[in-house]
Parts: sequence; structure tokens; C-alpha cells
Amino acid sequence: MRTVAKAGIALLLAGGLLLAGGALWVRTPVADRGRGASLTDGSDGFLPVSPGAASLDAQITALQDRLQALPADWRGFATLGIAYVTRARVSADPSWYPLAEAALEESLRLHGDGNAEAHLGLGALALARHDFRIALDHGRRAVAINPFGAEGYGVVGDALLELGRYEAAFEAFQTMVDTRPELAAYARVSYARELLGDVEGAVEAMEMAFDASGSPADAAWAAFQLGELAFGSGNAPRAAAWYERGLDLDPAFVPNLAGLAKVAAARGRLEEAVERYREVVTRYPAPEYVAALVDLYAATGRSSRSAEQEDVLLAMHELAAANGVDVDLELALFDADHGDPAAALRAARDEWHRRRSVHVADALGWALYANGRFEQAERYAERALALGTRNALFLFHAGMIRLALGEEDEARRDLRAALRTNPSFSIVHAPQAERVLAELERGR
Amino acid sequence: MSRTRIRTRMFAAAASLAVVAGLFALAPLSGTASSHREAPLVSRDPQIDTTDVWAFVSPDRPDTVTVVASWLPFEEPAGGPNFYSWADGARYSINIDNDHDAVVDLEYRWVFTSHYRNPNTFLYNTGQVTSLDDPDLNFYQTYDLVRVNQDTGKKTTLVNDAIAAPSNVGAASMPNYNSDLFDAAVVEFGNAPSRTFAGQSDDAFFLDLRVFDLLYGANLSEVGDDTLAGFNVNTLAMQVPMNDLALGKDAAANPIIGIWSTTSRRSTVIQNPDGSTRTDGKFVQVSRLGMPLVNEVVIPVGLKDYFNGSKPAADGAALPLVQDPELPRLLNAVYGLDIPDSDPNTAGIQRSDLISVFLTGLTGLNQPDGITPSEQLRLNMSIPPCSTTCSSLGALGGDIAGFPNGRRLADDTIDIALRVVLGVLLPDHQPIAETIGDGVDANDVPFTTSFPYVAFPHSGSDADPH
Repeated sequence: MRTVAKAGIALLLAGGLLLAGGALWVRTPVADRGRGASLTDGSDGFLPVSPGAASLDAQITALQDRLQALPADWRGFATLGIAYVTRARVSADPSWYPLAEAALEESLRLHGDGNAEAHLGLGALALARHDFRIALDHGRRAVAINPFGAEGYGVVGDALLELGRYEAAFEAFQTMVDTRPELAAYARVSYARELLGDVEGAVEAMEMAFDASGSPADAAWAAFQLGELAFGSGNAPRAAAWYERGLDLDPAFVPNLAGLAKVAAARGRLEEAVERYREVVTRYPAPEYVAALVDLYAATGRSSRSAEQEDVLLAMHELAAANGVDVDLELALFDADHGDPAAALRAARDEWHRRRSVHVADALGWALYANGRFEQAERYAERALALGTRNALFLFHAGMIRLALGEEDEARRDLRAALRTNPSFSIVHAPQAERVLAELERGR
Repeated sequence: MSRTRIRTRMFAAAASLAVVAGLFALAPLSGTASSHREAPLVSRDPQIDTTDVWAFVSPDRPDTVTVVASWLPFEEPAGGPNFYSWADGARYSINIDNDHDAVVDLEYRWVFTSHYRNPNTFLYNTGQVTSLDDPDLNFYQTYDLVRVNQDTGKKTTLVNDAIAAPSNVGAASMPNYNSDLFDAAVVEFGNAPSRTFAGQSDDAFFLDLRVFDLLYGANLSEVGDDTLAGFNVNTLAMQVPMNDLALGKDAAANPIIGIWSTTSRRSTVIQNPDGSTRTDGKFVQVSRLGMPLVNEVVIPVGLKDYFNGSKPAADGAALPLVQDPELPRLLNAVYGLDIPDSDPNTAGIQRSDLISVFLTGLTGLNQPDGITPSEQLRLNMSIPPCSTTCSSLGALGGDIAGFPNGRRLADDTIDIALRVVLGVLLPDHQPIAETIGDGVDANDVPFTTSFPYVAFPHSGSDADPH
């Protein structure tokens, strides 16, 4: 099946190249996918922060026309590159990334000194591709050019965070919010607090982001984050309310729909969850949603469907990799849970070699566990929890690793903590944690 | 007018567009990847986006001064379902420097709080609204207006819990908007009395934004449309006795004041150094506006963030920018116009005329003695409102009650600024400096004749407001 998937990717890539046509940076956007037009296609001046594809495509086409006429417009190229990065993300289609790179490099070629915009764009691109060192470099250049702009600190902080350099990352976020307190900065403060285990503070900061949102699309994004914070701390009803609020604000923003699918699964309404995820995947084919379908089909006894989605997921990962996106961490977690422990460990080690974030520590710990190397696994599980993050999956991994080491008390503590943090943290693992805990109780 | 405003305006001006607008596209994404949280790098923040400041001796009460300032550019009248609110907790300020040292002396500060009458619905209104305290106005905002004497630190609450005029949703919901809600939102305070207004209004600025596209090589002959026609903004206004603003409360002795707006939002602390509870952060100035067009004409692109966070006292460093601004060079490159020079005998470009207009006021008109140069809108309060000499070209048209002596709503700021930049105040200037313009000479709708003078907002039920 993997070969079939690969052939599909080759075709996709060829299509992308054909579309690219003459100049490296030109590609005609295909028709819009969603209803995002509602907010942004009028002349209401609401620029797309969470752009609907239609208006973003109009933006891209206009920029392309402009740059055909004014090929020395370096700001235009930077803007086009950033629009391409956004296009890739709103459509979950990584084949826009190489075009983004070409446009941003062209901007830098035209105007090498003092081009903060191009460095911000290249930073955003590198973040999207999970190339955090390069992102850090571009973010720092942007900051050096314009220390009074907040965006550069955002790129720097995001990159440092993913590299596991938390103290420096939080410092960058603090500078960002002290430079320009607004949604983008409040959201990063929220994430920092979440990582530090301060869920209440994270909610407070994200509510500030929500209140500071300048458009319904922004508000829908913040509502989604508030839903995630509520869900992650085990409050499914509040999560559902936020996701619904987000959908009211911007029906085109699919993650809120996925949130409702997740809530349905958490409430045991698996068929509803499957239906919702199928709609989500049709509208926004992001790997994590396909992964949810893999697990949901398996949980409802449809193994061939599950395998089918698994192939889709692998194809997506390969497509992403072919467009310069580093997917090792996602692959590691997926493989560890889906029967390829050797590949999982390879991917996780590669990633750990590149960056030492709590998420990578967790994935490496879990991959080591899948390979039966429990003692090593425990060290990484501890590192994953070192910031104090209240992450149910991390706690579950730690509990299972400790159980394998025969540390029953610690295992019981961790598994309980996982379920207390969020009793529905995973379609597969939450029920597993309950089973294991019950067995431990019986064995006492 | 702020950086973002021009960006958004250019965008709405359709094809001219996106060039500077691009960073807005650094969008919030799905944000769900397990390992990598993706948040926007830049968000639209129209609530703190200042558009314009006006200041003039009140035509119908010439012993008072009116200051008007607007935010939230490009409000589409039919903008529901959420419409346009002020940022809760942010500080919207009008600042006065009355001793010419480039440091704020008086700050008038509006701070808003949102309310839902029925917390179970997010509807803006739940039925027909005929007054500001109508139970059917489900979402409304109250504000306090505080006067801060920055020299003594004394704070005086002038207005408490006043209700701001809502967005004009449309005739079905708000049948008599202008009288029931707009006029009703004028609040009196003090003895004179003083007045304030907070609420939606027509965007009083008029221009063809495509003039800015000339920076990128467009054709200046294509202008003539009011790009802002049919859009609303959120407006604050105040009308206070001249003596309240003057140094020593003596407008006769100290008639010249400097005026600018600032907007500040609250920062927050991720975590205290000892790891303990969080604290509220400091207020951070995120936009600043005094003279119109400074951001467009004087401040280079790379310094706009700096400018929006800066204080006038630091403006001395900006002298070289005013001395040799970007715009004449662009006009020279694109159209072959001469670059004006106030002192050809001195090396380099000299622009004493621009320094007067933007940083010190004009000698004999609105330049006080002993001034520290800084960017402010300067008003000589001793010059009475025009009667027979009124000209939308202000001082250029022989009407010294207008821009750049303060700024009235009807002043054609773009034409004046273009002409000034091209040297109209200098002897022996090129002929085009007397005629260049954007082809838009008046607002799309008439201003009102009493406070707050801005035009009523366009209605959300207007099918074709532009």
C-alpha cells in the first residue's frame, strides 16, 4: 500500500510543478474550498487574518499581476511569499511552500539589507516546515532590523520554544507582549503558561486574545484555542461551547468542527465523531484529523477503513516531506502506536538530535517504550514533564513506562493524573488507562 | 493615520493594494498539531488603529475647543452580526502639550467596558432599539472619561459609566438612530458645560487612497474617488473651554496648544520571576497620531512601529526624516517633479518649511516661543472660526483658522499636504505645487453643525453605501 501512496505523491508533485509554469513563484490558485469568503471578499477592509481561501486567492492573484508589471517590488514579493505560506496552511497543502520560498528569496535578492518583511516570511515558512533553527535565524534578523516590531519576537520565541529553549522563548514572548499587547502576543503568553502547567493563567491570556480579536475570524481562532484548553483540562461541555461559538463566528474555520468531533468521541458518540471527522477531512485534510479517523475506525471495528486512512496519512507525511516539511515527530508518535516501533525510534531520535522540546522528549520516551527499552524511556518521560505541563498524554506515557518498570505506585499516580487532567484525552489511550488502572487496583 | 490604516485602506481600495498589507496574512492556522502550536504573528487590531485627529475652535461656541479622533477604519455599515466595539480596558487618549516642551501635560482618557444584557445570546440587539438604555440593545459599552494632569498626577473622573452610541445596525432595528442613539450619546459634564461623545460615525476623512499608490508607480490622473465614502469609524470627541487646555488655564496668554492621540493596551506577565502568581502588566502605547499624513509622508516604512510606540520628546531625532522625506523623492522618480529645497545654498536638501509644518508650527501662526520640536497637531486657539474667508485649503487658501493651524473636519488635508511637500510654502516653487491633489475636495456626506460635528454613521440597511 505504501508504494501506491508514493505513486500518488509523485503525481501530486508533478501537478504542482506543472502549475508552477514559467516563473518559479507563480502558481494560479485553484478555486476556494470553503466559505471563507463571507468575511473578506467585500470591500469592508477586513484583511484576512484567518483568511478564507477565496479572498486569499484574490490577494495572491492581484499580487502576481502586480509583480508581473513591477518585478522590482521587493515588498510585493515578501507579501506574496507570506500569502503562499498562508495558502499552504489554510488548505493543508504543503506544495505551496516551495513557491513561498522562491518569492521570499526573490524579495531578499532584490533588497538584501533591512528587509524585515522577507525575514519574517522566511521565518514563518521555516516554522511551518518545522525547521526551527532556520526560523530562529530569520526571526533574529527581523528583530535586528526592526526591534520595535512585535512579529520578529514571535518568530524567535516560536522557534526557541520548539527547540526546547524555554527560558529564552518565554523571554521573547514577554518582549513581544510588552512591545505590542494584542492577540498574537496574548496567544503566546497563553501557550507559555500552559506549558508551565498554569492552565488557569493560560485561559486568562487566551481570553485576552479573544477579547482583542479584530475580526470574527480571529475570534474564531481564539475560541478554538479556548476550546482546546477546556478540553485538555477535562471540561468537555465548556470546550463544546467554545467550539460552537467559534463556528458561529467563522463557519469556514474547520478546527472548531474538529473540536466538536473530538467532543463527540469523548462523549462516546463514536458514529457522530466519525461523521464529523469525515466532513472535517473533506474540508481540511490535516494529518491529525486523518489520524483521528484511523483510531475511530479501529475503535468501531472497521479495520479495513482504518488501514485505508492509515495509508492516506502516510501519503500525507510523504507529501509533506517532499515539500520540505519535517514530520519526524508526528511520524514517531504515529508509528509507535501503530506497529512500527523501529521506525518510530529512528524518527524520534532524529528529532531529538535536532531539538529537545518536551514534545520530542515525550515522543522519544514513548518510542523507546515501544521498543522495550523502559529505563531509557523513563528518563525522557521525566523530561517531558519537567516544565510542569499538565498534559494527559504525557502523563499516560509516563505511567505506562513506569508500569513496565514495575513501579506500580508511580504508574498508578501518573495514570490517575492523566485521567484526572482529561478523562477523554485519547480515543485509544484513555480507555486503556482506565483498564490498566482497574487491573492495578485489583492486583493490590 | 496609522500604518495599519493605510494598509487596510489600500487593500479596500482594491487593485492598488496588498503590497504593504501582506503581513496580515501571517495567519492563525489550524493550530492543532500536537507538537507545534501555530499562532498568528500579526493580528488585525483595528480597535487600536487610530485614523485621524482633528482639533479646532468650535464654530458655534468659539470660547471652546473641539477635539475629534477616530479609530477602526473601514467599518462596513452592514458589518453584522458583531459590529464594531471599542477595546475593553484599552486607554484611548487625547494628549495636550500646552507648554511646548514635547511632553504631555493633560491627558483625556476614555476607557470602555462591554456589557451583554442577556448573557445567553451574543446577538447585538434583540428587538427594536429606540434609546441607549433600551433593553433590546443587548450588547452595549459604557465608558469613563478621566482627565489626568500629567504634571501633578492628579486624576479627575469627568464622566462615569456613560453609554457609547452603538453601531448603526439598520433602519429595522434602529428606526431613529440619529436622534435616539447618536445625538443621545452626547454627554455634558462640568460647568461650562463641556461635552463628550463616543460612538460610531461616518469616516470624516476624505481622500482618494490611490494617491498612495503613486509610490508604486500608478498613474496620478486616475484619482478622484473618495475611497472612504460610505465607511464608518468609531469616534471620540470632546468639547471643553479653551482655558481648560491652556497653560495656567489662561488661553488669552497661552493660546497655542499641541494635540495628539495615543492608544494603549495592557500587557501581561507570563510568570513572576519567583514562579508565583501572575500580575497585570503595564500599559503599552501601540499607536500615536497627531498631524495627519506623518506616517505616510514623513516616517519611512521601517520606522512605523517605532513611531507608534514613541513619545514626542524623542522626535528631535526625526529631524533628518522631515528634512528630506521620502515622498518628494518618489514624486521626482515617478513623475519627474523637482525636489524642493528651502536653502539651495546649503549642501543637501533643506526643508525648513516642512520642519515648521510638522514639528514646530508656522511662525506667526501657530508656533509658540521656545518650542521643543515634536510632531503634534498645533492649534492657535486665539484665531476665531472663519466666517467669510472659509477655505477647505485652510491656511493655503488664506483661511488661517484651518489646517495646518489645527485641523477642521472639512480641511482637504491630502491636497494641502501634497502641495506643502512639493514646496508651495517656499518662494519660487514649481507651478504644480499649487494645483496637485487627489481630486476629492469634500466629504461624501455633510458634517453636522453642532457637536460632535462628524456626520451620522451610514446605516447597516443601506444597500449601497459606497
